[in-house]
Amino acid sequence: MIELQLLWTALVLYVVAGSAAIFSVVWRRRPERLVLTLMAAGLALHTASIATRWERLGHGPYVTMFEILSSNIWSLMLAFAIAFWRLPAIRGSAAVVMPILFIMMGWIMMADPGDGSLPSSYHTVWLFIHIGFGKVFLGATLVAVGLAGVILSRRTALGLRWFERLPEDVRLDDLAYRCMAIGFIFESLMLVAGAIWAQDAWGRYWAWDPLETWAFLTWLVLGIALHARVTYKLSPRTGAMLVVGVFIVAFLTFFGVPFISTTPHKGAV
Amino acid sequence: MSAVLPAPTVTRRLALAWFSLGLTALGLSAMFAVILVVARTPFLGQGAGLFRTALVLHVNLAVLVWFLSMAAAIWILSGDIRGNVGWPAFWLAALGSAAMVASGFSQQALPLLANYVPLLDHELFMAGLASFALGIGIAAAAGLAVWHRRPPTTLHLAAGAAMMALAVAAVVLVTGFMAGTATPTGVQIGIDDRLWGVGHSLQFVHVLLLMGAWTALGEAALETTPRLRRLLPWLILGTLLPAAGGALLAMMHGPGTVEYRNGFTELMRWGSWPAPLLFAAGLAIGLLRVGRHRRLNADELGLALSLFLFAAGCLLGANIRGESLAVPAHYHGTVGAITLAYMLWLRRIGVDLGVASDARSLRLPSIYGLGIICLVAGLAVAGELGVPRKATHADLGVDSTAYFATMGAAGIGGFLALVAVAGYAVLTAAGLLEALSPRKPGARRDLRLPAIVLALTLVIGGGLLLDRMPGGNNEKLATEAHVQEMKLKEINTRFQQGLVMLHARQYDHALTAFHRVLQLSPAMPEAYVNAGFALIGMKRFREAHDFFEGATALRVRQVNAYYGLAIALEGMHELPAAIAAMETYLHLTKADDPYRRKAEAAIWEWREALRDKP
Amino acid sequence: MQQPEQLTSLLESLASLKLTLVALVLFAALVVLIYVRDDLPSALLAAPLGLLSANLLAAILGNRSFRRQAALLVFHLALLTLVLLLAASRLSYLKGSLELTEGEEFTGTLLESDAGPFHPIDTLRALRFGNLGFRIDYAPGPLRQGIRNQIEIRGPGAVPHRIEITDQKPLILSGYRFYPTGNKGFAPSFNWQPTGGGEARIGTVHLPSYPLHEHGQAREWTPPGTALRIWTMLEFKETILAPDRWSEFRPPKEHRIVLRIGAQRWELVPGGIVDLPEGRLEYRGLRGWMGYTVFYDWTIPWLLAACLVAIGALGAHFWSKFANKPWNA
Repeated sequence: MIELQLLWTALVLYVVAGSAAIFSVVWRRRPERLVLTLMAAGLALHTASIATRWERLGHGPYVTMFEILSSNIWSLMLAFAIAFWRLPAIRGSAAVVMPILFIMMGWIMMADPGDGSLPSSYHTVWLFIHIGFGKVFLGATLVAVGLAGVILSRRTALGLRWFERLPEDVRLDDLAYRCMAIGFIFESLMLVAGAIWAQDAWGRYWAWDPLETWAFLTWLVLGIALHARVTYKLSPRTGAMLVVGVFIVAFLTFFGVPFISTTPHKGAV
Repeated sequence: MSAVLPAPTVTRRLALAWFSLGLTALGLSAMFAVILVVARTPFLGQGAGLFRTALVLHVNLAVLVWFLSMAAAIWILSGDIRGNVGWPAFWLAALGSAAMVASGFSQQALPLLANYVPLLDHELFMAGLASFALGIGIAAAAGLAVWHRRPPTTLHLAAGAAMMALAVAAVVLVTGFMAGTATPTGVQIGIDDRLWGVGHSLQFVHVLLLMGAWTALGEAALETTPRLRRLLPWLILGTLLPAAGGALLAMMHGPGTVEYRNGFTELMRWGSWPAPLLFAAGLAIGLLRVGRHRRLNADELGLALSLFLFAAGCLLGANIRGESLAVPAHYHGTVGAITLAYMLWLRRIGVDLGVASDARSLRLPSIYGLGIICLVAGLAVAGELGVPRKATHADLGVDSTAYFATMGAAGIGGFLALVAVAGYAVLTAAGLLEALSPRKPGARRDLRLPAIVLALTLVIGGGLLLDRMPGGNNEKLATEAHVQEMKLKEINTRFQQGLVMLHARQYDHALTAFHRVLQLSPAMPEAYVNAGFALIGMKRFREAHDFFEGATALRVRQVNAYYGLAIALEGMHELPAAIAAMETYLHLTKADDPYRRKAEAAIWEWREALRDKP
Repeated sequence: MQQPEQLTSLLESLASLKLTLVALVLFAALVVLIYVRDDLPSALLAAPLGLLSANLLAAILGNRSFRRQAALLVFHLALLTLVLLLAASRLSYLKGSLELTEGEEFTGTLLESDAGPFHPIDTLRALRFGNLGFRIDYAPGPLRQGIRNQIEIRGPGAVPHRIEITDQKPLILSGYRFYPTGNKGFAPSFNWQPTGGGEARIGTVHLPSYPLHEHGQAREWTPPGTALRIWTMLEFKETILAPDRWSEFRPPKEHRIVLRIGAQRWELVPGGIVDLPEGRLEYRGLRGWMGYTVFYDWTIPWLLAACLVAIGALGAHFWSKFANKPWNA
């Protein structure tokens, strides 16, 4: 199938781009233009793959685990590619971000690419709004976790050497905080859009279903992290650990909970 | 020359207050326009629930509160009006405007869109409107009383002429409400009849002040066209005179009569645009001359757009046939021209009055202008595509791609204009508030109270709005009966109006009325028949034929439709068919029908004509 | 003079940002706890929320940064409003369900319901609307598609008029939202004529939800004024919802109703009659019934407004905070 061929090619390009980025950090070379080109090419093919599948099934990539992984790899790649392109100073954080994406790529290889069926409650514009906000949130958090990873690995001699060229910790910490702030805004928007959709689809705006609970916990943890920064003058290292914590909760929410209950929202069908 | 007459410091704050009111109205109007767009976007799936209320408020806030608040501010500045008269006038207008907006949240406030001036059928709205009118009236009267104290520059002249036009409008308004409950011919006088005259008279106020705005903005262009400068007082007089005709008209005829309706229509059709259009043409030439020597600045580019919009609006207005999208295209053109000019003017005056100008708002008026041009062009072309459909009731022969493309252009343009207006209103209002605030700049302020007020207002107001949105808890469902009742009422008045017009041989007005009836009640054979007779009056036989056919399709025994059909066929030179139709009429009609004799004579005559031909 | 000082220090400690953090962590922990343990009521969340509200109120009075950062304050005020609204919502909400046979009118009673202590139930009791019938298509699978349910609104205060409701477009009457659901099935309709000339009664029996209980289309019921227990089962051979093609939910064309009282057994087609000592039972035919959920919460629009104000204000706060220094410095 053409859509799978496109997807696998895109994944290979991502892996090459990511490996090149990691090697460039480790051996302190600068093939950054190449990395960006490879990322863009991968994204183009991936977009084509998703579009082909969308056209064939008549619904977007948001039903099966395979589709959710595919669309999130796409949006996370896009978010990081934008950061990579616009913020040259922090390109080295690819060495942290790309392995995370590699894990997801490995996961999608094992997922069943079969077709799912679209529940009737998905025929609404709120689906796109809700998912779109969620993707921005996770993308911003991914960029933040890349920066946090750099700060944390600088505790080791190896990390200190690898990430020598990146700005100092305080600066990275500030950028990570900005990303978290953007993430907080969009996580809030995602929750609100989800509540509006839930009211339309199931006649209630909030019912503490597993995904709702976990998404709200993510919001709370993110809020706690932001608040802690204001309350205490946190060192970049503590701040980075908070970012990693938030990312773990968010990751579990996005990919752990749907994994347990197969469709994104349990009882959603 | 300054953008406005030299401002005495006493009146500065008063003028700034009026500007703030106007800007608030402009911003709110844009907000209601957003609701209009959302309600009409099929993708978001919202119905018509809030649409009509939002439309009423959008129109009133824009062409009433925004325009006239600007006017009042200019009058204050040109007349050195004292605070002891000026402030009460301002507060009357401000509270009135607030009441009008607040009434939109009431469940009982039903929108009356059919009227020339759209209204909400609610005491609070009416009281607000009256209070606003009173405030503006006082401002104009106070301005007129001291007008002679200043040397008569062109700008001063335009401001004075606008005040006089407002006085005329006030006379028309008062006479409109002094009339009894019915016209001499026995037609019930509705609220829209009473507001018909003042609605038209106000156009002259706006146009006169627009000329003032152009004068201020086009200083450099006027320098290069000295003859235009000399002509200007005459152009202003040439607009004021027909405006004054309104007062005469209101004295001679009562509201609701054919003469009254047509009189004001004709007054506006022939009196309100020639002088400004001439002025616009002269200014355009002047701008071209200026442009040869140097680059035009942002204000002058905006002025050029305003001139273009006004001309386009006039052109489209001349092109209106019946009810189609050409109507909104026309008035968005002229209203857009005025709004754009005022936006530019307000910024200039603000600078003169010591208001900090935000650099970000410099280009917004021009962006607004471009957006409106896009909107007007889209509506106009869509109107062109839509006109034949409405006029003949033929099948939908419109190329839908072209239709949607033009409506899409209109949508994008409208969105652009809204964003620009909202940005402009917020930025400029922020500057005005800063200038109005009595505190010294730089002092640290405790923002807690304003923040609390803002948060509560936004949450409560936003909730009220959402509550009334389609899908909200209080969507108007239960009042269906009331809406239905209002609709029936309107159908009835419109139908009566159409009949009056038909008998007065005002065929295009009659046609408009019957069109509206058919819009509200598409299956009403009587309306088809009378629209057909109106078309016969206009010698548009083929279209008349279609209407009579429509009537008989709806009701086979619609007797007078066959009579009309026969006349229409005669007009199309299809005598055999005409004879057949007239025979059907004779067959169906009662023996004592007064038209029987006429019908028989016609058949005889047509038979003779056929026999004479080879 | 000691009193105000104590008050001030109390206010200061209540306004502490550290307390905010503690309360937030407590809140998160309780959310997890309630999620894990089903027996704990979610009303427990009121404790950390109350603490957070008190903390915030004290901070508004005492914290200096709220005096200058209006956007930040608006954000927190909106959150506070949100909490108050949620409390109001919990006190006055209603959630419930009901079933209506095609042609039946809602007369204000629910099958089951769950409501806050201050819920104005009389409004619900006065509502009247009729279920005029519904249509549900099934894609191959069979997969349920959208519901289209014809409703006639009858009152109070409205002229009777018809509307169509769907899964996502509920019937909204006086703030009550009625959603049609996938819980629907068949309803045999009977005429019961008691022996001895009492008033004849027409009634329907809602068989279990279809196709969820496709193989258990039976129910026991009791005719009015008797102690009879009539077991009723629907039998048909036709495939209503096909796995391999598009189909539609509808009563089978040919079917039988099996009745059993103790050891006695009857099979009926429409028009069939059973004479019992207590009365005469006539089977009139098969219709569909629709299950609805009803939801009332007057706070919804204000909740949404508060959320949007909060997000907008927070966005403005961060914007002004970050705009000074470029990202790529």
